Amino acid sequence: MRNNDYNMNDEPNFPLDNNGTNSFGLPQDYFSIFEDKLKKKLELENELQAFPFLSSITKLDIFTVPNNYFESIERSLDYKFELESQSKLQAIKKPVFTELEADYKQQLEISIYHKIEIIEELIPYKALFHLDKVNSFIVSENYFEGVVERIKDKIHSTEENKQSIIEIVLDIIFGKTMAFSFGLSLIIGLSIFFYKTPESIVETSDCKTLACLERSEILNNNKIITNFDEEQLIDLVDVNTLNKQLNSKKEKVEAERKQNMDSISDEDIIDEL
Amino acid sequence: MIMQHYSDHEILALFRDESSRNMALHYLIQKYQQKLYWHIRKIVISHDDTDDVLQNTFIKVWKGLAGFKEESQLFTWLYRIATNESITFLKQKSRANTTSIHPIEYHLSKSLESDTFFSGDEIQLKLQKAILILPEKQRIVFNMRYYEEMPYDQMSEILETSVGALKASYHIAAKKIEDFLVSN
Repeated sequence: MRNNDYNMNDEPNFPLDNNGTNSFGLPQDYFSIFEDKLKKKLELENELQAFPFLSSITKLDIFTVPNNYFESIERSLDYKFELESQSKLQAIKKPVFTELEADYKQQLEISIYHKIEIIEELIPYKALFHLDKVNSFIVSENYFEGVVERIKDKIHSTEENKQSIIEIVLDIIFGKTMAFSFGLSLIIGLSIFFYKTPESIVETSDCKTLACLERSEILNNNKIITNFDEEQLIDLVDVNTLNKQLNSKKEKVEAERKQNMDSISDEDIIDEL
Repeated sequence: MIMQHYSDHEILALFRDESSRNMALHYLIQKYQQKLYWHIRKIVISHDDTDDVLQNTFIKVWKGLAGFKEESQLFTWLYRIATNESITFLKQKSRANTTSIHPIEYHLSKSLESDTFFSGDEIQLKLQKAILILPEKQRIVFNMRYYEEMPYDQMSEILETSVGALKASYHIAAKKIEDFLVSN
């Protein structure tokens, strides 16, 4: 890059000569050390010729130091020399301050403006303005240390008790209450059924047995009768009463026939003949 | 003890991962317990009641965190839940106290005098009593602005009220408190 501010008069190796002779100067012993310098350079290059890849890499100084490193070393050395006479002070470790956040200045400005705004709001209210803004509420010692665990326990206990809707519905359907009510209704239902069944047979007869039933009654109660097995039916039939019933019916039929015969006169018979 | 506070975003990321959910709960409570405690305490006054409300607040937060969409700040959402829980608690307390002809604020004010967890001097007690004569919403606005020094735009998000209305509410509350302090 061309430097426009360059002034030849400032060049130390350029002593001005008003006589018009060579005005370019040289550093002292330049030519005496030039040969040695060149020899060393050639020696180094010869060494590297055996390693063509290495010699192809441009030699750069890639390591850097933090800004103002060397100045700070000087300062810290000065500080150490100063402290040498004060051993106690030297023993204390210097605090390391963390770097400020990038937007700290901006945040600080906002926060200061906010504080001013809050104070200014209170200016019209003198009593409030002059009052110390303190938190008079206190908490028991170590209260906040236990809060995390207590809340965690409470949350976990509620999670354990948590049931899905399906579980709740199943609980209602197959739960104790439901099972009890179902059982109770079954018992009541069966009781009514078995209480009513014998009544329908017994109530319709005089003699309290199947023998006394009329045909129509038997047909009407067909369903009930079919529910009985053979043994039960035999038990229900009273043989004596049945015989009596049959005999009385026979006698009744014969008496009617006789009565009908008696009512026909002789003249009717002659006419018929 | 220096406690490391995770950012809201980090806490939410921990929550979304099933394996680190418990850790998220821990950091969430650790980060916000004190802020929320003092916010609730100023509304419900008693320490024991505050403890109950604080626990209920975190339980609600925990249950609803899966549905939190990050459209608002976590901090704002937490404050909103804490405020609503405190108001609900006071309403329940008021309903339960059917024998008294006085409003709940009267009882809160009376309880302050014998509260072992209140260390204020006479003027501080008077200030708290003055705050308790305010309507509920004004009281919350005043506490948030005066004690917590919260910016109006944040309050607006929490209380879902316009900044203008909040400013008006704060000045009316300050005027009432000033009058109370001067006249008493």
